[in-house]
Amino acid sequence: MNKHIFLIILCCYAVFFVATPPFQLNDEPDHFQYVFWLTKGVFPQVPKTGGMPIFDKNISATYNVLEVASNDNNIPNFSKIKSAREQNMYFNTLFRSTPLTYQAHHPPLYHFIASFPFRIANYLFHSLIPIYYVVRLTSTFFFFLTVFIVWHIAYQLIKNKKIADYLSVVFAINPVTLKMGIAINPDIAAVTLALSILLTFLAVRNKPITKWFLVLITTLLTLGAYIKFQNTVFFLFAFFILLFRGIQEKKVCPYLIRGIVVCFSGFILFLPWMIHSYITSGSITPSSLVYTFFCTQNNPRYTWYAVPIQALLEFRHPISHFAGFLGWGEPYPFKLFFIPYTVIFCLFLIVGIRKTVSLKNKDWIIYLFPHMALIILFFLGVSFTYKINRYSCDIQGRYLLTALFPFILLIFQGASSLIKTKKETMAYIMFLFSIWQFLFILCYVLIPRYYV
Amino acid sequence: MCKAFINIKSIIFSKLIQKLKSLRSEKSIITLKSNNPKGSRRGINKIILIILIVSPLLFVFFTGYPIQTYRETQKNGVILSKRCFKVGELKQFIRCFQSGKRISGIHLVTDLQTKLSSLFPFFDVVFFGGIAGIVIGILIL
Repeated sequence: MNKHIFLIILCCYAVFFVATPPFQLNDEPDHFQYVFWLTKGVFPQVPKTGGMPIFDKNISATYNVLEVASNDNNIPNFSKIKSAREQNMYFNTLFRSTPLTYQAHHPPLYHFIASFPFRIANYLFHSLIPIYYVVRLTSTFFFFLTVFIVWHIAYQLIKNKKIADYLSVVFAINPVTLKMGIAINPDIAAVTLALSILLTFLAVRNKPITKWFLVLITTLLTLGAYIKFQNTVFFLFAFFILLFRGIQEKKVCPYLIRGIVVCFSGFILFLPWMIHSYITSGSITPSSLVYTFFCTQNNPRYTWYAVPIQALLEFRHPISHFAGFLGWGEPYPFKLFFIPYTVIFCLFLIVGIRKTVSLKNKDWIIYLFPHMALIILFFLGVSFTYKINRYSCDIQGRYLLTALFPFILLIFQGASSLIKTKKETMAYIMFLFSIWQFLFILCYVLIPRYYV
Repeated sequence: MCKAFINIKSIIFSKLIQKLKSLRSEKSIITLKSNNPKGSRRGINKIILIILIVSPLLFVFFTGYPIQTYRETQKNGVILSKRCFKVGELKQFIRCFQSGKRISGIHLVTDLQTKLSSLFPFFDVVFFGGIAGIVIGILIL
């Protein structure tokens, strides 16, 4: 990657990192608490019903100083935060029973990794705010790893370093990527693992598949599933690609066995988590239980033929989020910006898919499409559940972050075919727009939300 | 001590000048003085483009944000005091802009500096350094 391109990504990341006050991003207090309990050697559990007090009283008191995200009309009390930092505010809790947190429905790998910086920071500072920022660095690590992987995917598919540079910036400085890249939340790590699976398959597409490759891919699949449950869909992806390789090399049977072995090994390695979930919450997918606590059933009841249409239309939310929704709470850009953004995004995406199919670009169709489609299908299923049960929850942009880079690649294809210009120029235009978008969201969403 | 300081300064400046020279030779946008009229026009076009890209920053710096609050009386008689700039509401933003107080320019920078440094030491330096880095990054590319 060009060092100036890296400098731009680094600066954009640093600006978002310091400008977002503590505990403002999606479910951060809960995730931080999960990490905190792991460092104490205790495994938290999912509450059995909704509306339960999930914070220890002492933890609650601390969050009252720092947390403002759920109260849209307030800005942080900076003098209180300053005095909390200077007085070394810290959790001083003695738990008596198993601690509860709604985020315990997530597999524990991200939180387990984050517990190491927590321990180091705890040893060095023993003050909540420095510890919080050090734990954020876990996501920083995954963010930059994702940028590295994304660049290599772009280079594998486009074979042009400049275009790979520009498109990597478009992905990296999208407000949703940056937001999840700084949040104490497993989303960015889930993206890292999901895209690393795609890159690993792309890297060996013209090479023989060895035993060590199968070990590597099983490891990545299992680690991915242990970071976020949605990554289990990539077991299917691995199976599909191995089957395709078998058809390509006219060795269907051996490759079919390899696919089954990879998926079965991954399943066995993931089984302890499913057993744990079943014992503690009575479900192997505890996320579905948590949805029932959070999502109120106040949507209208749709007729059977309207449900699929509504489920599909739900995807307008994640796409519009890429315009610069910095939720939790309300931070979103002006409608005048995000509605045209969503329309143009969808238009270029559809044209890009059509163009790629008509060009019969094998690598894109065999590797990129299924990877993107599987994560979309997973959330289409979630969307169906919402619509059937009348849940008011929506599919958020961060859920589809894994598909954002494939989307960007297809938008690039679509835009290059619609606007007759050199491919490099098109990538440059997208790069310039993404910088403008970053500055616009910084000036008209992030700063006004927390500072004025 | 003084000599050492002068030496370090001269080394840094000579490196900076070398860097600028190398940028000129790469026909970066800093190259405005060119004998080729096409080259200078391209340079001007690029400067216009860069101004467009950093326009949100310039707009915020010169026009600022509305800072007044407005009061809303609810049906039960409770008076709610809300911030004027509700994120995402363009109409409210424009209305507040036309009628109320606003914070802009150096005042805005100082206010941000104070708030950022109360979050954590040197966060203000990282924030403004980061913005400068983005602008420099675009200029160099």
